[in-house]
Amino acid sequence: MTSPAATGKPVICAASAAAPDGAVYRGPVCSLLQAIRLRRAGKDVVVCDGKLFENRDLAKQIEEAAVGVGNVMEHAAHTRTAGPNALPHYQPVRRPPDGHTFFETLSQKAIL
Amino acid sequence: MKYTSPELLVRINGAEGEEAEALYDQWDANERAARAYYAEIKARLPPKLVQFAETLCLHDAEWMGLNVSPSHDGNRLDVAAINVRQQHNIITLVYDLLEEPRWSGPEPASRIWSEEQVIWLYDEIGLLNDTTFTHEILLSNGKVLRLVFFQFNFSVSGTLSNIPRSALSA
Repeated sequence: MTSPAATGKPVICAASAAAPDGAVYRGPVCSLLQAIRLRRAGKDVVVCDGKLFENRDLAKQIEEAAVGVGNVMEHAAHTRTAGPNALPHYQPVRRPPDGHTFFETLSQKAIL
Repeated sequence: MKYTSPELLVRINGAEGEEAEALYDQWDANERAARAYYAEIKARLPPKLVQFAETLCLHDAEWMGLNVSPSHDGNRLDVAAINVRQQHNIITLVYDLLEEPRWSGPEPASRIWSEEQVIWLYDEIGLLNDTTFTHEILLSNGKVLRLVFFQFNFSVSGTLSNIPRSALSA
């Protein structure tokens, strides 16, 4: 089951990106502050349910707060290699921390 | 690169608000076109190359370098080896070359490219004719490596960090 279409406000969730088809599992809902803490600890988070640009803006805000403005790169979904359900994401240019801040698009959704 | 455009990636990184939606539509269309192209050429690719394309995703893998072993006698072609690290594995890609490896970029110049902690971003496999293949790799420093080759192999091996500390000190 995938998450609902982009009809509401963006929701931040803990996430896991271990699926073989590139899919991102959507975990418990968390606050902005909790998301930043998760990212600083090297965990994945995902922004769901909003419009693409809303999800993306919030994902960027989380990643920049976690790893620093200017240390963030946006990766479009690599669906050919990671799998058809891969999501675009932000991640630090210089690691640590590990992990990513994923976001849903109109067609690419996290899995519940 | 034909489908994975560094220029589009730069534009996506610089997009503001709703502008990003159109760029992601373009990216998705390119990905669909790339998948269709791969499906079209797959039957004509070496089995090892197909196995590589369908079992390994090297996105985010740490780039360890390209080594080219030139032929000493001039009668044989060069061999190129790429090493990347992914978690606890070292992955080695080996190509029997038909042309010298060619680097290009970063194009366009952008603040998103960085020489620190260079990683593998995206790659494309291509077919020139029934015995000639290409592999293009975009790295996070914005450079694109193009290899033209006729044979390919790869291997995955664990690093020492996979071995328990107790075993190393015994």
